[in-house]
Amino acid sequence: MTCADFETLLDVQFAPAALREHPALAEHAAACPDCRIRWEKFRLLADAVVAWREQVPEVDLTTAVLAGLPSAAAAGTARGSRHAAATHLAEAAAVENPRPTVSAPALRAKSGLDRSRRALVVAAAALAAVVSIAVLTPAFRQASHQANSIVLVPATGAPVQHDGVRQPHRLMARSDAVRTGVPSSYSGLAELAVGAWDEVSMLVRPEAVDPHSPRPAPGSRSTDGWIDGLQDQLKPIGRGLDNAFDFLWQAGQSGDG
Amino acid sequence: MEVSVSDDGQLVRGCLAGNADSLREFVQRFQAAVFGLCFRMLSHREDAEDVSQEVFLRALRNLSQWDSARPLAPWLLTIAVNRCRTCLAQRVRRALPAEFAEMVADPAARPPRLDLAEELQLAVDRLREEYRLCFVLYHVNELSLVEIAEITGSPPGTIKTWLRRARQELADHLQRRSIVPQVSYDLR
Repeated sequence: MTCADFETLLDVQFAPAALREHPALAEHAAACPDCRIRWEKFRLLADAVVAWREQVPEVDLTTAVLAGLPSAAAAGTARGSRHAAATHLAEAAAVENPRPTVSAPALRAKSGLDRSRRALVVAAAALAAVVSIAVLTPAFRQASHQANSIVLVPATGAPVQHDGVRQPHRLMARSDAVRTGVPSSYSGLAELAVGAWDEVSMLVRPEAVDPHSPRPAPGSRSTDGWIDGLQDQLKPIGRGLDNAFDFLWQAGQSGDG
Repeated sequence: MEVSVSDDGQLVRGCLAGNADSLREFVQRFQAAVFGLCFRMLSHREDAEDVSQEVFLRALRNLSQWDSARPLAPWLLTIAVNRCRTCLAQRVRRALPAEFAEMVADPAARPPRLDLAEELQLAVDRLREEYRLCFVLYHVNELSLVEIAEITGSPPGTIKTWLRRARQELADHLQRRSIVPQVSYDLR
């Protein structure tokens, strides 16, 4: 036997029992130092495979599988399966195992779906809010070369008084086209954003007929009615922004800012 | 698992008729093969049990699609292979458990010396998925190269190559880890 024959036979005959009992391989390995190294290495692997195969634990899946059959059959029916066997299996298993179980992977998949759905609604609402602000605020409509033409003016059009009386302000541009727009205060923008959010939520969740319905009970999976609560939370933020710009405007006018 | 096609057909007919004894026999006949494959592919008992259970549920749900002219075991193992691949893909996307994350963070840290079978499992876990699948199907499920080729959808020649490379990598791993043979060999 040549070394090439030895290599070929070693591959072909690699089965733990056969390898140990193959006299031609052992004979060549005893005479050839190079092949002897390969022979010893694969004998070690053969022993490991024998021990490895014996370490598979024994399990009895009968009860778990039969208990899971109703849910499997139900899924088949829901998908319009033509396999009447599924119904038979479900009935037979239901008699023997009246308490159906849901497998761990199924539970994980279900919770993952809910999370992704909630994330989609929140992401769409946030996007709608940003788009609303960008479209409705005149300052955002300015081209980059006109950025320096944006000024703060009082919402009423009256000059700012320096006697400590605060007046609402807004961002506004010098151009006439923008000046003739009707920009609102930031609390008003927040209301517009919530309105856009409302419409997007109706698109994302068409089954939510009335998003202004009462807030769901804690722990409920329904998100109907969350718009109202959100609007209440956003209004103070808008008022806060109004006050902040008011303060900055006065500070800039007084020259100490 | 040496069961003739006719026995398989009889068993499947009983299952399709809703016979509870046939259902129980179906699971008991193939659970060792399915669980053995899942356990060695996933290296995790609970995951292997979950996947095995899912394999049987899928098989029973789609039992009417089985070709009665072919043996049942390879068909069932094909489902098991696909579920194992899905489970492994999901595991990659999930965060590593803390104990494994520590091992990954310090690649120089060598796992403690294990016995021969544990060392082999450690090496099997590090094989490429295709190599591991071929090795497990060949040595745990004792399938032929042709049967493995049918299950994996790859040519027998490719399976043979993967199997040889898997053995080579496993043998190299055992040698690197300085595993001492449990028995002494008479090389004559």
